[in-house]
Amino acid sequence: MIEGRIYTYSIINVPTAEFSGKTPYAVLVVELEDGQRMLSRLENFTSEMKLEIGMKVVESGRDDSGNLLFSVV
Amino acid sequence: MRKVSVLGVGETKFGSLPERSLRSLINEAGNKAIEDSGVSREKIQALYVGNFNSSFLCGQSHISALTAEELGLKTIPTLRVENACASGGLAFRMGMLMVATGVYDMVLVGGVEKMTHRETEVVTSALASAADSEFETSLGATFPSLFAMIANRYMHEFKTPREHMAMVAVQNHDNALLNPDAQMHKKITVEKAMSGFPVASPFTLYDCSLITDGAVFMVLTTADIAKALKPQRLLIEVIGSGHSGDSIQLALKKTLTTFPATIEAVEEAYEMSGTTPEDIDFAEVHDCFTITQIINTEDLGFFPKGTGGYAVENGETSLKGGKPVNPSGGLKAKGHPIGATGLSQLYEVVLQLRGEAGERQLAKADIGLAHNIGGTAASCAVHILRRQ
Repeated sequence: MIEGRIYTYSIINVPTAEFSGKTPYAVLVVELEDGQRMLSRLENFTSEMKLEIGMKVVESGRDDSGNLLFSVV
Repeated sequence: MRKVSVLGVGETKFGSLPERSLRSLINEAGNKAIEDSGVSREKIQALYVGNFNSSFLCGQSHISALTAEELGLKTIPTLRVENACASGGLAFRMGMLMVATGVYDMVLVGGVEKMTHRETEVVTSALASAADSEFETSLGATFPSLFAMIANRYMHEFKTPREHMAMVAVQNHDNALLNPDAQMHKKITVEKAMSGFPVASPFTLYDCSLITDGAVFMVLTTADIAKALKPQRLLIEVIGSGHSGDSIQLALKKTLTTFPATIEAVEEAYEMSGTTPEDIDFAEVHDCFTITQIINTEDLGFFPKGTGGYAVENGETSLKGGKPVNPSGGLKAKGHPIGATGLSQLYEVVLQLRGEAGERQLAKADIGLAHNIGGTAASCAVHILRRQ
């Protein structure tokens, strides 16, 4: 189980054409325990959620493009 | 290397110009530049055109050949330059280097983009193609969201107020009110800027640069030829040029709050010109988003790290401040026709150096700098110009 923390994030309300109808969604840079960083998307994001830098996230599967997704613990 | 001079400049008005074709934009700006230079078009030996994404947005590639045909440049060699939002600054650099190294004596450089005829989501996709399609765009990342993540990290590291970003928007809107070619002529307040539509948190619509149609062209030649052709006119000399790069992926950058490409490109330009940040009277600084201007003014050496926003708040970057930034209104309010933007910045620098900037003319404008980045600062072009 890959774990990490939110290094930074943004909640998107104007998407690309490919993500039309999926707003709002949250993208983030995850800092893994070994210090490496990767871009991802939060799988369990809801607009009621209050995101903060430093929050713990864990891997929660892959999307159709094969991207590793994370969820807030 | 030979000294290079800007002999002529021309631009269209920036804006939402859906009725104008690419050819029409090129024709207007290109012919204005050639007329301003005073040379006949037969003297132009090569053409470099910045264009980001007309292939996708207009179904038109090979924009350099199209440009040469439209401007009657016959069979001269042409090249399209594409480095995302830095396409224009790098088209200028290609032309400048060709003249400096003696390959050609006179070249035309320019940039053009036509964007506003497409829906916002299509333009958002076109812009997102400047990011990594496999590791960023496929996740749903947009360009605003990539810089929004930089903004959140910046505010976290330096504990700066969100209002600073809104103040950048307010100031650039104020400057654009004095620029007849600017797309946006609308005064805004900090409160309005912060309460706009939340495009990608923490950004509202007012933190984002504009979607713009427009074109800008310039004739470059050697300083010696420029003096001989126009002895009465102020000589505008390109004294410094720098070009650098960085990783395309945001997550692979060592830091998100400094742009190494800006630092390396400007160091090259400072060294070539023998200038320091203190010598720069004013600058056009890449402000694709409000946070971008703040970080870049620090990386250019104008203000210490973490204080770029305070410089805006204290009026230092205003038209009457000690280091005016984006007197044209910047990408934020003059507009951001991607492939033309680097040239648009240089156009303002030339106008200010000539003393032809009208109501927004700066009191002191002897040395000016233009700074242009592509992607999340994955490429950077910097030029320093001086009047003789």
